[in-house]
Amino acid sequence: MIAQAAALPGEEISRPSSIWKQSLATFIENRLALAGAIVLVLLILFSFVGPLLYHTNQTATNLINENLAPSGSHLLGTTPEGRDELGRLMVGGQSTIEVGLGVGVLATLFGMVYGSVAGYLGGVVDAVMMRIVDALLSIPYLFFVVLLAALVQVNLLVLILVLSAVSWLSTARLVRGETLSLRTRDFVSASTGFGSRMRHVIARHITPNLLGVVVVNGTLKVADAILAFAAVAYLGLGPAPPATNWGELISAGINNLFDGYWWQLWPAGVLIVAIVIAVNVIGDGLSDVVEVRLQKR
Amino acid sequence: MGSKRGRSITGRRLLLAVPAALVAAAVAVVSAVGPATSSGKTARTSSGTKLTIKGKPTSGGVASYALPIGDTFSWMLPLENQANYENYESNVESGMWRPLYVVGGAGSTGINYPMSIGKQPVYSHGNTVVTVKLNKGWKWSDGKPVTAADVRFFFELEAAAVKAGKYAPYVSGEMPKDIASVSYPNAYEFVIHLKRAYSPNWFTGNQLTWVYPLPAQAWDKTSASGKVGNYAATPAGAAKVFSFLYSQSEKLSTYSSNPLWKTVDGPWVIKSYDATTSHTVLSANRKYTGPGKPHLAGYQIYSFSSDTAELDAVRSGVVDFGYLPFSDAAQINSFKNQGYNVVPWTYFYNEAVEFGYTGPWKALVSQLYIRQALQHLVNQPLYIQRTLHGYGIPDYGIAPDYAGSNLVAPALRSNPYPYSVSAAKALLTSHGWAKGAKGIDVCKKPGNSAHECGAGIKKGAPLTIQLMYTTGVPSFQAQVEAFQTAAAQVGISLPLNGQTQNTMYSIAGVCPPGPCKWGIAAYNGYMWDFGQYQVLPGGQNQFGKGNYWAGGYNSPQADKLIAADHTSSSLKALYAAETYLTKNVASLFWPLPDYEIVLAKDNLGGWYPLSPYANYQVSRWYLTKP
Repeated sequence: MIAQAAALPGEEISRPSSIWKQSLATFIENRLALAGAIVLVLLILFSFVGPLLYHTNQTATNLINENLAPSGSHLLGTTPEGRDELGRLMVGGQSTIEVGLGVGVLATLFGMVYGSVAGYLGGVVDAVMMRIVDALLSIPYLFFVVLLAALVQVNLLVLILVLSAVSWLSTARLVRGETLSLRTRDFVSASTGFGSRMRHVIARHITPNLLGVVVVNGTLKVADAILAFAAVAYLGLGPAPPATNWGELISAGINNLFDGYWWQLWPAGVLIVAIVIAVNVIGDGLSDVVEVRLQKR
Repeated sequence: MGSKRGRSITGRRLLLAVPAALVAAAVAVVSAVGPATSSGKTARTSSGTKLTIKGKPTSGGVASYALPIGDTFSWMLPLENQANYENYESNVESGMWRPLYVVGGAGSTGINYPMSIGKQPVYSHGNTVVTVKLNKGWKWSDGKPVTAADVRFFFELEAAAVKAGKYAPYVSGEMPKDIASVSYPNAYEFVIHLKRAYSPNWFTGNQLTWVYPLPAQAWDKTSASGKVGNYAATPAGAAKVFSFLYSQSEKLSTYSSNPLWKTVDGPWVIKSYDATTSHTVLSANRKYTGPGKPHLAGYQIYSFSSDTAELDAVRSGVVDFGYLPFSDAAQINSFKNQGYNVVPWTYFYNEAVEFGYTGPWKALVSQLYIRQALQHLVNQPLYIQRTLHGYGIPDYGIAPDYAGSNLVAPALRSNPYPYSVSAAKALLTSHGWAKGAKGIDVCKKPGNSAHECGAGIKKGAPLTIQLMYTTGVPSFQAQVEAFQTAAAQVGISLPLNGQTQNTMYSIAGVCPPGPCKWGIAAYNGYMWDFGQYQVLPGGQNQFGKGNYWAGGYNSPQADKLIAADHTSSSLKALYAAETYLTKNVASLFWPLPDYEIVLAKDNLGGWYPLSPYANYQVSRWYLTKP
């Protein structure tokens, strides 16, 4: 209202836009991030909608059709087990994306809660909690996966939990550092002074101010999880066949690299690189969004 | 598939009709490229593969060998425990400590008497007394002669190892429990008095082959700093000596520095060992007194965790004698063009997939008709043709179908359970199974009568059996998945549980005695390897009473037939045992891949003909120079 009243004759009056619109505008301004988002959407459509349009049997093997080159009946050739490679890439994309998103969300949520509690409480509690983080960081995630694969039947849920269990650590560190800074701010002191409980302060004052950092970090976690899943699957420790994922397809492709079966390696490799780059540039775009100084106000 | 090797599966079968002739011919032909050759030669192997060795043979030099994927040399003591009862362990050990009877030779099976310390044993008193004379002239590297006292030392340690439960070859009732006493008339002779009569073929091939004369003058001690004595003469003392030697064998990092391992009577002695990578270097024993002195100054053994890593090592020239994974068979011509000799290594093994008779799926796998249905779903010709690219043979029982061998029962010369989805389906439906939710069969007729599901199977129980298998080998992975697909067609669900080979050993290798935590266990490579500890098939270690393989299989009828085979000199007893075990589907019999497709540099000679027992017999190797 004030803006309208102060407007000069003939000057276009700009309407106040919502925070979401501002954020979207900032995100779109980052062309790379926009391209990343488009690629991610396309890959999601490829993986989840693709099988509805391109019908293949990804459960049964057909050794008679092993290692066939791309043709009209198999657009991207076949796997060493005789399955259609393109259909395999679609099914593999589903689990790859599910693990990436699952680990990104779980690790971020847990890391955020853990880090904010440690940072807010400080003192001995903080020291103990962060030493636990330090200790866990010293254990390679592959150790967990190898151990678990020997103890239980690995499936997607188990892998998401395992990768989440080792991915939240860096998020916790990051959030704890931010919280240490936030807890000394005036609005937090005021809230505490009015008798607010820790739960309330963290939920209403600390967490909202962490969201920007956490969201950006979360997208990077998605990319990291996709790569970690690919590595685990490459080592043969992923979910058992007929389930598949892009890492497992790369593993099979590398085995046949010198046999000339390029279709078993490069498409899966390109897709993994594409999704990881896409998610990373989306993270950059979101980083721009939460950087207040870059936002148009 | 078969065209790549110049023969098909059927052709392979035909080889059985021309027993030793082909092997002998191969030996004769390729002996032309042996160490006596003065210049480069080209010959052909028995499978028609062209073999070229360039240059003139030389003495000295160090060659290198790649162990199959996942295998590592990690045990010194020639009394192997369960975790190290592997051919790749005994191959190295027997190069340092010569067994009483060496098994296998250049392309030949059986006992290799010319290379052995012991002369052919003489059986008397109705095959209850065995007299063994030692060849004189064998000496330890410290200059002491190899005598019957060293055999006595072995028997003393063996008894202690059995008592401690740490001697893998031992099966209940077998050596040393089948021996009443051993006497030593002189320094080069010992006489075994058996508790009962045994078949000389079986006792020599499957019992005396365990014996390694051991250096009592260096090893009869109970601590590293203690003096050598005669401790092993008493059972209590032998237990202490064995415990000490066993503990030393566990100390991988001391392998090259421990003086114990330097007293050898074989052609090789340990030079260095990397406990992290298992990279092993052996040098020629300059004081070796036996036949077949090595041409090389030394050789190295490399271990790899993946086929890809091994092939990279071959390509980079690190490995002189490696292998080409079956899934990479398309690269054979490429390697040939690069100057490699590429030869399939057929071997005297049998392949089977274990059932877990004592685990959560025991009610299902204990039903003969379910095992028969599963056996009908193993498409052996397809696996050999498509996943092994022809480098394998069908396997229908415990007797290896090796060219020239007469050990396969006539009834098993063709598949008693040929691939047939309809036959498998009929077996299930006739026992009360019908399709349930998600296409998995469920038991509709519980009970123990002929046309019901069988003992321990409740109404509505799904026909789901976990299949644990070795990961990392594409050709095997493809076989397992094809089997899973075939099973699904008849309503059997086989959820896969992939594990590394070592993890497989740690899980499946402990059943029995522990409960099997798996329904079916499929190892890549082999179920049972013949060689230094077993020349003749018989099924004892796999399926006999007290077995520790085959998932706790227990059949009084099998025990009876196996025992009969141990005492009979007729092949009919063996045929009866193997036919019963196959018809009873004691394990799933599975195609046997060749040991490997050898990739050898053309400046390395002497390695062909290959040993049917998968021993690379490095003493025959030599390097050439232009």
